[in-house]
Amino acid sequence: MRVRTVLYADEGTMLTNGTDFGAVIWLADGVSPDTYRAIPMEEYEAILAGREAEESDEAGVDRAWN
Amino acid sequence: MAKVVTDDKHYGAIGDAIRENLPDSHYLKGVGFTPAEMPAAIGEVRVTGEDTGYWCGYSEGEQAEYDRMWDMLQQNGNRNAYSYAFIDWGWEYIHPKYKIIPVVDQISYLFGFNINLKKAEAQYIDLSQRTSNSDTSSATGNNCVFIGCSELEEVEDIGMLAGYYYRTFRKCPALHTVAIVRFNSATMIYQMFDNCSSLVNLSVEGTIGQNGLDLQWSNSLSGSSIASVIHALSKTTAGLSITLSETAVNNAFTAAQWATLTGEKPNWSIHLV
Repeated sequence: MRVRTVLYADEGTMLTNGTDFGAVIWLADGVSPDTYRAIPMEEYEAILAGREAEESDEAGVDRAWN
Repeated sequence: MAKVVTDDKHYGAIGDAIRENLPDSHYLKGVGFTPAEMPAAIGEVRVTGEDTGYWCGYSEGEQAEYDRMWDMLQQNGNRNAYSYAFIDWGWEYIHPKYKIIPVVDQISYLFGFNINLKKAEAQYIDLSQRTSNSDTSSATGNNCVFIGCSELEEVEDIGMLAGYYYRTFRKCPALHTVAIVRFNSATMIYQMFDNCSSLVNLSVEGTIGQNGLDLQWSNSLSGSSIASVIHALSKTTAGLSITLSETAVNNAFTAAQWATLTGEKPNWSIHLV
């Protein structure tokens, strides 16, 4: 029988391993739950907003043919 | 002192212009018009023009201009490098004179920010001929090919190969169907489907062997599409993850079905948002 660990974020938080995020994480074999930490939802949303800004900057640069 | 032009002079000028544009034989040619009669007289000019072949050659000229534009842009059908070629274009459908077949160079932003584009059709686009398509560098991948196509609904199998998928479909919130995308275990994936909130149908071929596939925005992604993604995950990698929409997964699978499906790839962490 295979046992798979599932992590659930508490209300108002998101789990992250530093690069990816999830409210529910089906952990791969051999990955420790300690790899993940909870962050406030506001912090997660700020990270997503940062992606938006990054894209806008990049698109502007690309459109300028630099 | 300012020159005063009376209404009578304006009307007289209009009447002269109408008469000048009528054929000599027309019964109105030598007639004077009251202002009230002028609209009908102008209509006579149009009717006469149509009767005498005013539009003759219009469609031929239109076709000639279409040909001239595309022959120039696509080098009489010989163009094989298309990076940035159609960025910011306003077309709804990609219907060029010659099929778009990039062979060399990158295809970055090929249709980027085509905000009216509805569909990318295989009849007009073939991305499968690129000589360096297996290269995983950003220079030869599918970098931002459809980024910002806010009305794009469907991408047929246009031969997207296992090049670098960097923001390929980012900011395509109307995108419903992507017929096929192809990966190999080295294919880099980064923000490929960000903001694709309408995505339902996605078919994956090959093997996903890198981090970064994030479908968290696609709440309506079908069960078969999710299964296609899971089936494509490499069995030999370790420490990698993908991200899916929790809503989509819960709508498509029972807990038992989901456990079975994810059980196929115990070497992957699966994140649900």
